[in-house]
This record gives sequence, structure tokens and C-alpha cells, in this order.
Amino acid sequence: MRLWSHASRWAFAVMIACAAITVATALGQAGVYDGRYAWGIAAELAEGFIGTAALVSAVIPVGFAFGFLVGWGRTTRSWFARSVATGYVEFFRGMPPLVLIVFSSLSAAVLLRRYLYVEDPFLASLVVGVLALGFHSGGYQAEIIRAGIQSVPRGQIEAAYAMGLTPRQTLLSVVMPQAFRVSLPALGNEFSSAIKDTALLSAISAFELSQLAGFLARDALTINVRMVVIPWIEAAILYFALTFLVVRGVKAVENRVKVPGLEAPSL
Amino acid sequence: MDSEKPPTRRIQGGRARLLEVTIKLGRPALALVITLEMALVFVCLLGLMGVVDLAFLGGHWTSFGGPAVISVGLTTVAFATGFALAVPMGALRAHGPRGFGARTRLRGAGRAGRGVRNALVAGGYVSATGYVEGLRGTPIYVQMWIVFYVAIFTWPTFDYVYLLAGYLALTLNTVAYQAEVFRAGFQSVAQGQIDAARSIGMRRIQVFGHVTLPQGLRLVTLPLVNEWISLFKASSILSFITIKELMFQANHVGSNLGHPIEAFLTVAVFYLAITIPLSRLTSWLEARNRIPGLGFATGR
Amino acid sequence: MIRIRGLHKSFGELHVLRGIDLDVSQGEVSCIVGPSGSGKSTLLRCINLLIEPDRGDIFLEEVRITDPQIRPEWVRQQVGMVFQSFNLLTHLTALRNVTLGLTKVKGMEAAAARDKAIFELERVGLAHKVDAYPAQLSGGQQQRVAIARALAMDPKVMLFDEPTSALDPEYIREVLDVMTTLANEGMTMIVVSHEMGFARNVADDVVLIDEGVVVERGPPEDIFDRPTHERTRAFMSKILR
Repeated sequence: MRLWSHASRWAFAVMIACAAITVATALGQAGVYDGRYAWGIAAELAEGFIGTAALVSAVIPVGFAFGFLVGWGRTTRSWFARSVATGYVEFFRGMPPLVLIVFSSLSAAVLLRRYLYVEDPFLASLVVGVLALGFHSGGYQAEIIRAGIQSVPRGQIEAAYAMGLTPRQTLLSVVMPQAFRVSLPALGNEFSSAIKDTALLSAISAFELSQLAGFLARDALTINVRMVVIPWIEAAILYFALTFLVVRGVKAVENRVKVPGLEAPSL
Repeated sequence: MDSEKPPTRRIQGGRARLLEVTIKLGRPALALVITLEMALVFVCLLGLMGVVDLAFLGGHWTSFGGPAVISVGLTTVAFATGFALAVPMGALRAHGPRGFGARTRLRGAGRAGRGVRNALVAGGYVSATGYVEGLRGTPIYVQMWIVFYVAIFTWPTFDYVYLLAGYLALTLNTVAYQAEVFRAGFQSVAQGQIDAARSIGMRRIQVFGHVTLPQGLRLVTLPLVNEWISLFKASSILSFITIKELMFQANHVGSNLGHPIEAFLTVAVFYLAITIPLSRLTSWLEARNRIPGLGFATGR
Repeated sequence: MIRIRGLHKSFGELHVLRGIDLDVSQGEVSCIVGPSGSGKSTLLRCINLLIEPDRGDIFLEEVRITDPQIRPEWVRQQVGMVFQSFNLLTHLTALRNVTLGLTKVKGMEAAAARDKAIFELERVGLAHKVDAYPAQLSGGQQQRVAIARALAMDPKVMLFDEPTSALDPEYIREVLDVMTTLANEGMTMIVVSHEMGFARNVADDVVLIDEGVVVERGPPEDIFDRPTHERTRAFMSKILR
């Protein structure tokens, strides 16, 4: 069964792509839509893809940084640290990302205008929105990392102490290497979620895939009403490709650091 | 080493604990209450500082009640529809692409009949997998627009076509995520149970109905609650197609009425008031049942 | 070498150690036996300060290690511990498991640490498994690596917490053989174990602990064959057939 599901991932990617291309070309020949249009906008969407990739490369590291801090903070002895960390996780996981993005951005704009007398705080509010998404992802990553830390058997921590390692050395040499390996699959899943959430950044006019698709769709409405769906479908394909690549990347990292005997609990 | 004085401990006080890195998160309720109090104080401070218009807040927060009901209601209806559709899809995915073996007695199970049936199973599996992977691998925001445009072209004269489009978008998306949950749930049912059932002569379909399904459903409660929460948060995108739910109301108050900070605070309270107790519930359920391996993150 | 006076430890309501007095001389092998829940593991973990005693004193070579001024890491360098569940670090090879303490705690150079680690692994008979991961080793091999890991720190005392209780029967022998060799080489050892054969043949001193106190102690022949206390007799009758 395992062999099937590994090969099937690739098989499906290829199959879907082929099927889509076949159907698309066939429909185009049949005159259902304007095939040249579809290929024409693909180039424009590619720019959006780059924009999305850039945003993703900001969101995921921010999420990881905070996820690491907060996830570790949830496991410390300090009651204060744990409460703050828990508060962070509950807030950023409990709020819809769209709400976080739009309102942190708007609020930042209002505050900048009101108190710092910034005329047009577009860039700053964009950054705030991206950070908000980063914090949102961080909330999920914190939980994943916390679970990874807690999965390290207590006996090994005991053994490390018994050898004379300090708590800090134990954290670095014993806990983190194992927590990291165990967390990777779940982190990969969360990364693909973060990629999909960047679509929401179009709400604050970030230059990315959905924003462009939206523009193209609205233009298409004026040209030929039937074609409005095409930009969105192409955008969907591009998102799929991006998440696919990122998850592959994480799997590759998993394979590189894999140690026999340290399999992640199977989902 | 004997002549050296043993180095003194740098960190005094606090008893050395074995399990520093593993925790005991006690008193979550107390933490929650303290957080709420701190949030309240924070808001009042902001009000005093003039950042937040408390009067406005007081006057307008009730207008979020109706939209909240719509958010919850729409999510739940979409979730329920998705549930009904996802169980068979999840079962098909759990079964796998291979058809039934030669010994399987199914109606119309002559050689040719079996061939057709196996082809159907394989085709069904492939379609289901394509659907699930496709819907889970793309943003719901994009899916929503596709469904929206298709809907308004298919039913241009329908009055509630926007609502229908929103409902469809949510449903189609949640079917994919729930199908994965069910697949994992069905596949997690202990093989020993299935072996026992088959060894007393049950047919495959009976094994599914009497063993896999009931046990699987018990295993999936936790991930399903998580999925509901996830869908509820995703429903915020319906504000783009002018469905009057929470985010839409927040936008209205924030942008049209010009009070984004107050709108944010209010809508945050509404969302958190629903999501946090539910996720506490899942943590409690998880601690009680401790089913390993069935709590994967359901993001969009 | 080790003197324990009036050791007390409670976990919440449960008063586990109720005044333990014990002496272990240099080169002596002391075997601690007793019913489960009597506090044997707790006692062992107090000696290397994994658990902080509530009351009482422990002296390691006349140094009062229960003094709060003393860093526990320093104590743990002098005292080696072998656990029932081996507790090897699963993400490291056998060699790295042994060198970890040498490089991080003793601050040895990598090359020197590697040589010492290979020496210790040879000592326990696992020179051919230096690059294996714990998951690739049998239970007995894992425990021997754990022993090598503890020995590499050149401890003054070795503590063994039921080292063979988690092993399949065919692996018990190899671990006991290593422990016997160690004893013959003059290592001071405190062993909590149910292996009565080992206690009888190798131990210099057998200590019965029940309900948190030392009930009786003496040479193996005395304890096994001529127990004086009622509780000792009861315990012995339960475990010896």
C-alpha cells in the first residue's frame, strides 16, 4: 500500500496536469473559450506567482521563529512564560487569518496616520499584514513544535542529566534534534497551509497571485463573460504547484536527517 | 578532582526537576480568566489613551450578533452537508484503488461483472483522490471565486445565488478535508478487529458497517471538531461575496463607519469566544481519550 | 566512598524514603533488593541528584553533595548511572552516544573523545557496533552501550537501576557478564536488581529495603540463607524458590 501512495502522488500530479491540459486544449478547440487568452495571461500570472513566493518566504520564517519560541515557551517551568505562550497560541489560532490580516493592516494604517503623521502608510500596513499572517502561522507551528518537544522520551532527558549535561545542553543536544525530526511532517503540512493563506493578502493589495487573478478576472468580465473563471483556475494550478513543491522540499529534508528508529508518529 | 573544591551551583533555589522540558499545563481556566482580564484592561487603557473609541464600541458591538449567527449557521450547514458526502468518499479512499478480490461475492460478480466493478472502484478512487488533493492543495479563497462565477452564470436569476455560492464553496472544501479525516479514521481501526470479524464469516461490507464505521466514527470526533473550527474561520472569506457574516460586518463597521480598531476588537471577541472554548473542548477530549496519531492540523 | 544518613523523600502525600542510612566502601558491590514501591529507584536517583531529597545527607568521598551550593552536574560526573530502559539517545549512533558526555561535559577534544569512546565500547564488547543507531541494536547491546556511556565519564561510583529488567531473557547474560567484569576490576557499584544469582555471586553486600527504610544488610550468604528479620524472610521466601 505504501509503495502505491508514494508513486501515486507523482502519478496524480502528472495525471492531473495532463488531463487538465487535454481538456483545456479540447475545449479551446471546440471554441468554449479563447485558448490564446488562457496562455496569454499565464505569463502575467507567473509574475504573481513570484510575488506569492516572495510573500511565502517572509511568512513561513516569521512563523517558524515565533513558533519555535512560543512552542518552547509552552514547555518551560515558568508559569508566566507558559501563560504568555498559551495566550499567543489561543489568539492567533482562534482568529481567522483574513480578519488578522485586514484589521492589523487597517489599524496600523490608522495609527500611523494619526500618531506618526504618515501620509500614505501603504508599505508599512502591508508589512503589518504580512507579519499578522506570520504570527498566525506561528501559532500553529508553536503547537507542532511543542508536541515534538514533548514527544522526546523523558528517560533520555534523565540519562542526559545523569551524565552531567546542564539543562541547556540537554535542550540543545538531546531534545531539539529529536523534536525537530519528529515535527517535520506536520510542519510541512502547516507550510502548505501558510502558502494557501497568502491568497488572503490580496485583500490588502499585496502583489501576489490572487490579486492578479482577481484583476484579470474582472477584465475578462468586460471582454467575454465566459472566461472569467480561467484566471482563477490557472491561479489554483499555480498554488497547487507551489504547495506541492514546498511539501516535497520538506520531505527531502526529512529524508536527509532521517535516523533509523526515530520515525514520526504516523498520521 | 579530589583536591578541588566542587564548583558551586550557579542557579540557586527552585528544586532541580527531572522533567523541565516536559510540562504540566495546569490551571488552564485560571490562565484564560487572567488573559481575559488583561485583555479587558488593555482595551480600557487604549480607550483612555484615545486610541479606542469606547463609546462607539459600546454602541455598535451588538450589531455583530446577527452576523455571528449567520457565520455559525452557514458553517454548520456546510459542515453537515460535507459530512454526509465525505463519509463515503473517505471510505472509498480508505479502501484503496484495488478492487475486490476474486473470492469476493458481490452481486453481478461473474468475471466480467467483477472486472467492471473493479474498474469502477479504481476510477472512483482516482477521482476521489484527485478531488481531495486538488481541493486541499489550493486556497479556499480561489475556490470561492471559481464557485461564485460558475454559480452566478448557472443561476443568474436566483435571488439568493450569492448565499448559495458561499454555501457551495464551503461545502466543497470541507468535503475534501473531512474525507481525509475519515480516511485516516477508517484506516486506524485496529486490524485485529477486522480480522476477528472476517474470521467469523462476515462479508467485507458487513465488516465495514459493523466494525470499521462505528469505531472509525468514534476516532474522528476530535479532528472533526477541529475541522468545524477551521471551516468557521474560513467562512470569513464569504465577506467578499457580500454575505453578511462576521467579517463583512467588521468590514462595514471598520471601513465604512471608519472605526477599524474598534471593529477589530469586537469581531475578535466574537471569533475567539467561539473558537477558544471549542478548542479547549478538543484538548480535553484528547486528554481523555488519548488516541495517538489522529490529531493532524486541518488548515486551509 | 558513599555515606547516606537519614534520607527522606516524599512525593506529595507519598512518603517514599523514610530515613535511609547506608554506607558503601570503595570497590564494594552493593546490591539493593526489596519489594516494588519500596523506594529503591528513588534512592538511586537521590545519589546522583536526579531527585532532590527532602531531608538527610549524602556524602560522596566526604563531600556533602546534598549541600545546595554544589552543582548537580559536578556530582553527576562522578556518579555513573545505568537505567532500566537504557535511555540511549535515539538520534545518535552508539559512538556519538558515548562521546556526547565527553565532549559536552568534560570538554574533551573530538579525537580524544572518540578514542576513549571506542575504548569503552570495546570494553563492553561492542567495538563492531560503533556506528549503529540504537534502533539497530538488540536490547542487550543497547544496555551495554549505556554502560559504556556511563563508564566513559570515569565515574567513582556506578549506579545500576534494574539494568536487566527490561531485557529479553537471552540478553540478560551478556549484560550481567559486563557488570561482573566491572566488579572484578574494582568498580564501586550500587545495583538495584532482581537477579539473585548476580547478587549472590558478585555482591559484597546485600541491602533489603522495604517501605522506605533499610531493613537488613549483610553479606549475600547471610541475607539469602540466614535472614534475621521477619520482613527479610518474607521477601526472600517470595522471590527464592
